Amino acid sequence: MRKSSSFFSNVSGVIAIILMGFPVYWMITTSFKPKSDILSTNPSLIPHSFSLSNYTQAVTKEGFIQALLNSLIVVFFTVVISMFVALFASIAVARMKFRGKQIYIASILIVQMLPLSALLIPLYLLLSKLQLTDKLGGVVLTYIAFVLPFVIWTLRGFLINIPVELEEAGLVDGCTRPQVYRKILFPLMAPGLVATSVFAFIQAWNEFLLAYILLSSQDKATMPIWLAGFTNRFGTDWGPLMAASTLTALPVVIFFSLIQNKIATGVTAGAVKG
Amino acid sequence: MRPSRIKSIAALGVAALVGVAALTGSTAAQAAGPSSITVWLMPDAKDFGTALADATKSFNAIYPNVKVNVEFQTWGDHLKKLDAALVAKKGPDVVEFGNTEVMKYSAAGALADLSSYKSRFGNSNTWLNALTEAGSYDGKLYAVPYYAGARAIMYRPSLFKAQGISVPTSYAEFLAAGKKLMTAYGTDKDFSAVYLPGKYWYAAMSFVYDEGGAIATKSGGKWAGSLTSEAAIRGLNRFKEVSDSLSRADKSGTEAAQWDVFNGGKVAMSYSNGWESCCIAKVGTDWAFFPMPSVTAGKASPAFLGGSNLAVPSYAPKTALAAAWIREFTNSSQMTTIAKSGAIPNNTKMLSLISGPAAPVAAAAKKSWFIPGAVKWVDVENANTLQTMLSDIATGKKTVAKAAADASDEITKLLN
Amino acid sequence: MRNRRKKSPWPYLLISPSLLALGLILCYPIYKLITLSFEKYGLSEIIAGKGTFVGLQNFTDTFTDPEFWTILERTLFFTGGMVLVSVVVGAWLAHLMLNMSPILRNILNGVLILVWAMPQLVSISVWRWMFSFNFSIVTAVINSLGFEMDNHNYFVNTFSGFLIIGGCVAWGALPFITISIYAALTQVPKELLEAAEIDGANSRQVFRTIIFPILLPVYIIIISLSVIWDFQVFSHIWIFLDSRPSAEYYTMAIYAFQKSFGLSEYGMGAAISLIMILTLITITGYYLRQMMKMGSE
Repeated sequence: MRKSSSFFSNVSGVIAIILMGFPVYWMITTSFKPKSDILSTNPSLIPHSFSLSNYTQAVTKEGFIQALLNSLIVVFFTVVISMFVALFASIAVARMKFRGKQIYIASILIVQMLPLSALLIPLYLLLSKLQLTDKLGGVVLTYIAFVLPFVIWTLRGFLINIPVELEEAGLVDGCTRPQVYRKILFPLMAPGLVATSVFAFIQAWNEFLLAYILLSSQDKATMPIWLAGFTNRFGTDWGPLMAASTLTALPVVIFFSLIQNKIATGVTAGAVKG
Repeated sequence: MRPSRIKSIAALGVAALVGVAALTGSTAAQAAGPSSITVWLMPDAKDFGTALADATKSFNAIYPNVKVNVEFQTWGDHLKKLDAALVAKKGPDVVEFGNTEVMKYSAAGALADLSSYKSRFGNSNTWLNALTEAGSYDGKLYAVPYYAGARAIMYRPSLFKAQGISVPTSYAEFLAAGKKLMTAYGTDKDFSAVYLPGKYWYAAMSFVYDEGGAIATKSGGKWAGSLTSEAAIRGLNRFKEVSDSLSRADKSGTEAAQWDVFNGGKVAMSYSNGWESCCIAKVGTDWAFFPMPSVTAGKASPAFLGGSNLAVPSYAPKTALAAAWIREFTNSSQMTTIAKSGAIPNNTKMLSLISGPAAPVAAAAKKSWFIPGAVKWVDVENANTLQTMLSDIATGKKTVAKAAADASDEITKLLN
Repeated sequence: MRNRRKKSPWPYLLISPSLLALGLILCYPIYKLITLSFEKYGLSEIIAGKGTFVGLQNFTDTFTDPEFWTILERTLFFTGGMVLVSVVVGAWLAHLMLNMSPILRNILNGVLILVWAMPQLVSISVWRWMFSFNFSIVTAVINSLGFEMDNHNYFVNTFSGFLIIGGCVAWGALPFITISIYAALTQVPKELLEAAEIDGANSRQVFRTIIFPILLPVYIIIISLSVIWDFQVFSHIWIFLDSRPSAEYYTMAIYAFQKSFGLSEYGMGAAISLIMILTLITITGYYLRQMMKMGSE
C-alpha cells in the first residue's frame, strides 16, 4: 500500500499482535485443554495436553444446530436490511440539504444514548402488542432499530470524505445517478461499508439480553442464549464454553473475509480520475 | 447490465422484507391445542434424571389435552424477563425462583396464593423449613419448595490421615485440626487448612447463627439489624479466628468457583455445597464431607440453606392447572429421582435417600438458617452490607465491634 | 454544494425507511421512558397495572443523594480515561498498519476481528482469570520475573481495579476504532500524498494539511460514539466484581441498576437513565454543534 514496510512498524506490529491477541489465545488454548487442566494455580502459557473433548461436548449440547440456524437467520436479515436502509439514509445526510436535517442527525445521535436496560420493559410491551414476541422477526426489527443509528452515523463520516466532484465528474461523463453510486461512490466507501457491516453482524450475532427477553420457546433460541446455558448451579463449564465461543467467533471471521474480498476488490481508490 | 442489476437488488430487498414477514408468523407454542401451560425452569432441572419428563407424563395422564412447554432460563436475567411478563400480564404459568429472591414477589402480590393447594403437594408437612419460610408471606403459601442446597465441610481424608486427625465434632476440635494442618503444610504460601474467602457470608453467618445470633430480628413490626448482640459478636470473632489462622484465601474475595482452588490440591477443608464434588477431578476420590461442627460439642452448626421454589404468577389464567403440574413435579416419586441425582429434596423425610459421600450434606440440611423474612431483604443483598462487613473484619480494616455496628445500622435503615 | 431550485423529494425518500424502522420500534419505549421517570413504578405498581404519579420525586431523590455527585464524577473520569486510551492506541495501531508488511497487517486484522467477535461474557471472563486472586497469569508472570508476589486481589484498590476494567473495555473497543481509522486512512487519495511529497512537504505538514482534515470527521464520530458507549459500561464492572460491586465502584450505569432495575423500581430507573442521557447530550453537545456546522456545508 504505502512504501515498503518499516522495521519499526513491523516490530511494533508483532508486539501489538501479542498484546491484543493474548486473551484470544487464552480462549483458544483453554478450549483444547482437558477439564482438569483448565484452572490451575500454576498457569502455563503453553498448554500441556491437548484434548478435543470440550468441542465434542459443545457441539453435542442440546440446541446447537437450531441456535446456529436461528442466529444465521437473524443476522442475515438484520445486516442486509440495516445496511440498505442506512446506506440510503447516510447518502441523504451526507450529500443533501433538506429541512429537518439537523433534527434528524441529532435524533440519530441521541438514540444511541438510550440505555438498553431502561427500554427493555417498554420494548417488550410494544412487541407483545404487535404480536412479535417469541418471533425471530421481532428480534430482527429490534436489532435493526438499534444498529441503524450507528451505521448511518458512521457511513456519513466516510461519505463526507469522498469529494462530490468525483460524483459530478461521473455525471458529466454520462453516467446516471445509480451508476455513479455503484461505480464511484460504493467502491470508495468500501472500507466504511466493511467496518459497519461487520459491526452490524457482530451486534446481531452476539447480542444476548434483548434476544433473551423477547424470545421464549427453546426452538427460537439464538447462539448467545445457547451459550448462556453453559452456566448452571455448578457454575460455568469453562472448557466447553471456550470451545463453543471459539466456534461462535468463526462465522464472524468468515463473514469479514468474504466481505473484505467482495467489496475490497472493487476498491479503486485514487484510480478514478477527476 | 444496468436494469438487471437494479432488479436483483430490488429482488433482494423484497426478499428480505418477505423474509421478515415470514419470520413474524405464528410460533408452534401459540398454535398449540386447546390448552397449554408454560413452565420456566433453570437448566439444573436437566440434571435431575427423568424427573422432568416423568412429571409431564403423569401430568398429561390427568390432563391429556394440556401441552406442557418447558423453557429454560438463566439465573442472571430471569427476573427481568419475569418483570416484563408481569407488565404484559402474560407469560409463564410456573416460575422457578431462587429461595432468596421470591419473597419480594410474594409481598408485591405478583404470585398466586397456593395455600389452598398445600395439602395436595407431596410431603408438605415435612417440607424443609427454610424453603417453606422463603415461599410464604403473611401466613400464605406462594411458592412451593422444589429442591435445596446445603453446605458442609468438604475435606481431604488423605491429609487428615497423614496428620492423625479424626473428623472434628466440635468447633474447638475443628480449630485444633486446622492449626495442625497449617503447621504441617502452611509453609506453602498457597495452602489453606480452611479455605475461607472474606466475603463468604453464607459460611461466616453460620458462626453467628450457631451462637444463637441472627442477622436481623423483628419486633413490633419493625426490623432491626442484630449483629451487635453478644451472640453475634462471638460468632463473628470465630469467623475472624478461622480466617486469620487457617485461611490463605482472598480476605476481600468471594467464594465463587472455590472448588477450583480445592481442585488445585492446596486446600484441606472448604465450606462447600454438596455438588462441588463434581468438579475436583484432580484430587480424584480423595474427598469427603462432614457437617460443620457447632460450638456445642457433638452438634452440627446450622448451615445456610439455598435452593429453589416454584410459583404461579398472579396473572396466570389457569392456576389450578399450574398447581397441578407443580404437584406432579414435586411429588415423592420425582423427589426420589432428584435426591438420587445429588440434589437435596424438599422434605426432611427423604434426606436419608442421599447416601454415600454426600450424605453429611443432606444431614446438614436438617439444621439450617435462612435470611430474615423481610420483604426488603433484597436491598440488603444489593447493598452488599454483609460482604463489606466481613471483608472489613477479615482484612482488619475495622474491629469486629465497629464493623458489626455499622452493618447493623445499615441493615436497620434498609429493611424499614 | 448543490443548488436546488426546487425541493427534491429524494432526501425524504432516502431517510424514510430509517425513520420507519426507528419510529416503529423506539417511539413508544422513549415515550414510556419519559412518563415512567415521573412515576413510582415498582413491582406493586406492575401488578396493579399502573404507576403512581410522583412528579419530580425520582429526580430530586437522585440529585439529593450525596453519593450521586461522586458517582457522576467518577463516571466522567473513568469514561474520559477509556476514551482517551482507546482512541489514541487505536489511531496509533491504524497508522502502524499502514506501514506494516502485508502479512503482519493481515494477521493483526485477523486478531482484531477475533477480539471483536468474542462474546462479551467470554472476553471479560478471560480478563478476570488473568487478574484473579488464585489463578492469575499476571501474578505468575510477575513471580517468574523474580518479583516475589503473593496472591493479590487486584480490585481492592479501586484505582488498580478501574485500570484493569478500563483496560478490558478499551481492548474490546480497539478493533472497531482501529479498523475504522485504518479504513479512513486508506481513503486518503494517493495522488494527493504523492503530489505533496513531490512538492517537498515533510510528513508533519502532510499530516496536517492532507491526512488530518480527511480523518477529522471519522475521529469525531469515533470519539463521540466511544464517549456514549463507555459512559454506559455496565457488564464489565459487574462481571469483574462477581455481580457484587462495592459502593466505590459505582458508576452511573451500576448506580442505575442498583437503585432501580435490581429492585424492580423502574420509575427510578427511568429517571436515572434520563439523567444519564442528558449528561451525555451535554458532554457531546459541543462536538455535536461542530458536526452540525460541518454537516451543513
